Parts: sequence; structure tokens; C-alpha cells
Amino acid sequence: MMEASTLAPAADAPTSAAAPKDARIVIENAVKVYASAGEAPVRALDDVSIRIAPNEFFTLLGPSGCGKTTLLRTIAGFEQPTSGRVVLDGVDITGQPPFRRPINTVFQNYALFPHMTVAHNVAFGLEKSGLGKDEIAARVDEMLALVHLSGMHRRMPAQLSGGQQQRVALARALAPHPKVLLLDEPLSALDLKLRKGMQIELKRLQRDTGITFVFVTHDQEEALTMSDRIAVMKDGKVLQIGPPQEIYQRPQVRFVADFIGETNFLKGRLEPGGVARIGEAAVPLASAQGHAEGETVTLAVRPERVFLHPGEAASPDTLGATVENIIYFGTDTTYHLRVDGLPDPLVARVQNRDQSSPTFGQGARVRVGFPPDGLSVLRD
Amino acid sequence: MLEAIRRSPRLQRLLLIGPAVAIVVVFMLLPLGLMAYVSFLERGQYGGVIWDQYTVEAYVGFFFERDFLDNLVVNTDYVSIYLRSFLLSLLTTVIALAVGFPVALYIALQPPSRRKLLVFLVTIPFWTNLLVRNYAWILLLRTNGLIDQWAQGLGLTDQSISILYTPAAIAIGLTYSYLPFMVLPIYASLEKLDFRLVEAAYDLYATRLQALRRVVVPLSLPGIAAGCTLVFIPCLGAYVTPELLGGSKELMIGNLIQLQFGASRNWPLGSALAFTLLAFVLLAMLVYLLRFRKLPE
Repeated sequence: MMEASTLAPAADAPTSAAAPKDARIVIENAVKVYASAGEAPVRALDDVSIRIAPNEFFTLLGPSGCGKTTLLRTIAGFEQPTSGRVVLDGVDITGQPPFRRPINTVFQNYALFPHMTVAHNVAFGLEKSGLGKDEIAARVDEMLALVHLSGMHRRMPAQLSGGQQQRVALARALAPHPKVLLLDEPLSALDLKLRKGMQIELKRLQRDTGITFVFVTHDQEEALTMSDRIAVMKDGKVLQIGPPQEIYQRPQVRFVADFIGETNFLKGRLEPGGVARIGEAAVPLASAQGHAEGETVTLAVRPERVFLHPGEAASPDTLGATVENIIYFGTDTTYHLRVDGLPDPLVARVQNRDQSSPTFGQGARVRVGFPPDGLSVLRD
Repeated sequence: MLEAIRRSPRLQRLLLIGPAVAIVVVFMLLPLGLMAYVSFLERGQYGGVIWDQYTVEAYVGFFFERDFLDNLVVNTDYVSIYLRSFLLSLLTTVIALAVGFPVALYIALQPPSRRKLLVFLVTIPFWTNLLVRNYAWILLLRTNGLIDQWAQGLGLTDQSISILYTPAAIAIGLTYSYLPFMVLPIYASLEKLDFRLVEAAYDLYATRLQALRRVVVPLSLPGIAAGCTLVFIPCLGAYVTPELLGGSKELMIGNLIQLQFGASRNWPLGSALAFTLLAFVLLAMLVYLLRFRKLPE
């Protein structure tokens, strides 16, 4: 067993991170370098630091090859970080093998034992728990009921559908009551309808069991709907950590804004008084923290946050534009606009609430406005 | 003619399956039938058989011999040779499994490019004649052979050790000869094994040894069973290795049968011995089939 070391608050800890005593799992400056002969070494994890609170649904989101699975495998113990620490409840577990860690994994391909029944699969992690035979049987019953598979005890994994196998994998990983449950893209093999159902199901399981979930996905919608907090990763680095609303509404990096949802990017110059000069307009900003006046920056605005006003009535904080294309979606309408003085087209989405919602024809002249909190100033 | 074939699916089937059936009949059933027939014939005075005199004397002779008064007396000579063959084959199989499984596992855990090379290395002994390889073992095992010299040079023993012409020499020779037959089928089933299952076992608190016992071994059982069969059955009928390494004292079934057709000039007994061996082998196959028929892949 590793010597227990209490965790001192790191000096460079991000301000948004939870206090150390509230952290269930802490990843400190994790670096993982894969070196292969004749090739440049790959930094799969590049100085990653994350704190995850107890009972949190935490998602690692990013494109394939961003290091999210490597990070998950580092927490599970399948990979050793080149440097850095993994701390669980204040105890450094970096060197511990997977079978010593009270952490279980739901694997992407489920990895059910094909030669064992459903019940034996679920009981596998309980055999070393010191529980009696009856207690194990009771726990297996309880777990199968939890994932709505009661009575499936004697089936073999090959006799189950993909969705059922998924549930068995969940029951198997939850049965030993781990402190942390790791989920490696568990929904990617399911069809859309089943996936939607399982998203709700997973969220329910996480609330009911109170176990900390660390969920890996490349699906931004999945991340937004399920998570308490999201860490967006790219090239082995964590770009931004925050609740879904913050990640969506206030992206700090161009990649985050681009990867999650649809975004318009605008070039602007910061001016005195918290104002950005975009083309002819001077648009007030909610926050331009960390950026100097006179700096030319990239601003992000979601299509649904773009306001459209009819007519040409000039005001200093709006821009003139021409409607180029109209796409009707039922619940809303998307307008592709050519904005005066801007090189790139702009996309605006207007909700079709009732008859009074404004509609614009092709070629119509409109004025475009942005709410101050809809504009995010991006770092590159 | 062609038109008739085209019209009749039955004729098409017959024509397609015909060559295979012909091969089985000509190369398997005919020789076996001939052997069975010979085993029920009277032996000829100077070898060969008398083709129209039928008797079960050969099968009686397996267990009994006739004394001077023509009474049947139990003769354990042949049975003990069979028993020795079984025990030696069993020992060989166990050693080959103990050595072969880790080798197969090691190969299966290598990157794919290196696996090919290692499998090739395992099969390399096949490129040399079995006879030559067994003579090589004579040089290694004999008194004042390489192993003896090393043992004395290292001070492990004062006297010269002689392994040659003992059952141990046969076991060593057989294990060496048939090890690839153990390694290759086990490797074939381990290669298909999804090693993420091993990770899943680690994740669920199984140690390395437990993961091996609970996941790797059960899932490679078909390969292990095939390997054991492929080693055990040829060992039973082995001829060259016991002949060269066992000397004249340590007969195995193969040598006994050869003796009947050669020096003893008792073809019917030789055929009967061979048939008894075949019966045992078929029994072993049957047990194997019944045991592993229902295993999932």
C-alpha cells in the first residue's frame, strides 16, 4: 500500500477548481509521453491538472487523439503518467495497479467476459470484497434491478443486445460501489434512440448512487446534456473547464467555441470603455478580462444570440447586413447574412415563437446587433 | 452427358464430393481395413500371413501367452509397454503444456510484426529431419555428452551423468519434438483473445494470476485442448525418438509394433497392437469432443 500523503493546495491551482478537501480525485500536472523509435515523441497528456468533486458528473470532451482516453486510463491505472500525480481522497495512488484502486471502468466495447453468465460478470468484482455468498447474490440482484435487467442472471453476454450488454457492463462496474466510475465512450456503439435513453439513464444512476462519474466522449451534445462540469481537451491539453452553460456561452478559446455548437467568429479591436470595434459598430462587451485595449481579438457569438432588426435605422452598436440565404427549420429560421465591412458571412438564428416574430426575405436589408454577454473574447 | 449433369443437382453434388470421398476411401479406409483383416489371420511361419486362416489369436496374445501345456497365462509385457507409453505421453503433454503456454502467451502479447517472426522461429525445427534432430539429442544427452560435460564443469556432479537410454531421455526428446504442436494452437486461440478483457479483470480487482486463471485460461481452453491432443496422440505412436533415445530397453508402442512386423515376424499381432492403439486414440478423441463441444468461442 502507498504511503498516504495529504494533499497540499497547489500554488498554481486554477481559481475555479474545488477546494482540496472537496476533491474526490485530483490529477496534478499529469504528463504522458509516448516515445517510439524513429518518430517524434507524442505528448498524449501535456501538463493536465483537474480536480473532480465527489458526486460530480465530470466529462472529458474532445476530438479523437486529444488525450481524453489516455487521461481516463491513467486514472484507472492502466497507464502510468510520465510525470505528475493521481490523488484519490487525498491519497497518492499514482503507482498503484488497477486492482488496488477503488475505481471501476465501463469500457467502450463493454469487455464483458464472454464465458461467464450475466450474474457471474456482475459478481466478478465482488469476489475479493470479502462479502459472503448470499450478500454477493443480493448485490447482483440489486445491480441488475438498477439497470432494469432483473431475471437476466443466467444469460450469456452473446445472447444480449448491444443496449443490454451496455447495462450489464454498467452493473458490473457499479457493483463493487467504487469511489469513481470511469466511462470510456460507453454510448458510442448504440443507435441514436437508445443513446438518448441511456444518457438520461446514466444521469439517473449517477444521482441515485452518488458515485463520481468521469465520462469520456467526443459528442458535444452528450457532454452538454449530462455533465455537471466539462473539461474540453485538445492535443493533450485541457483548454477549458466549467459547467456546460459556461462552456457553451463563454468559450475562452477558439477551439472550444468551434468544437461545441455553431459559432460565428468576428475580428474586432478592443477600445476604451469595454467596447469592441467590429466593422463600423462599437459593441459593448460584458467582459474583456485579460486583454489589453487596442488589441485585435477574435470574438465568438452563437447564432441564436445575434439580434436582427428590420430596416436601415442606424445606431452606433449595430451593423448593416443583407440576407443572403434563408433556411427554415420549423422551430427556428437560420439566416445567412453578408455584413457590411466584414469579410466573413454571419449566421443568425431566430426562434419562430408566434406570428409576430420578424421574418426577412432574401436580399432584405437588416441591422445586426449583439447582446454584451453574447460576445466572448477568445484566446488563441 | 453435360446436359444430364446440368439438370441433376444430385449428380452435381456427387461429382463435387466424389474426389474427397475417394481420397478417404483409398488412403484411409482401405489400409485400415487391410490392417483389421490381417489382425484376424494366422501368422505365417517366416513372416507374412496365411490369407485364408482366421483366428483371434493376435488379440488373445495381447494379454496372454501360452505355456508348454497350451494353457493361457497372463502376460503383462505388452500391457506394461502400453502403460509406459501412456505415462510417457502424459508426462510429455504436461511438460509441453507447462513450457508451451507461457511461450504462446508471450508471442501473443508481442506487437503483430514481431509475432510473425516468433511463430516462424517456433516452426524452425520442422525444417530439419526428425532423425537428425534426435541424433543431436544423443550427442547432448550421452555420457560425456555436452550436458554431462557442463554439469561436471560447473561442479554440479562428480560422476558422469548419463541420461541417454532412460525414460527421461525419451520424455525430453518427445517434448522437444512435439512442443510446436502445443505452442501453435494455444497461440492461435490467444491471438484471438481480446486483451481488453484482461484489463477489465484487473479493473475489477483481479491480480495478474487471477486474471490469467479466470479469463485467459478459460478463453484459450479450445487451443489448450487441441494442443494437448496434438501432442499426446502422436507421442503414443512415437517410433523414432524412443528407438534412438530410449535404447533397446525402453520400448514404446511404436517400437513394439515395428518389432512385430520386423524381427518377430508376427504380422497379425502387430496389426492387433496397432488397432488397440487406434481404439484408445479414438476413445480419447471422443472424450475431447464431448467435453469441448459446447464451449463458446
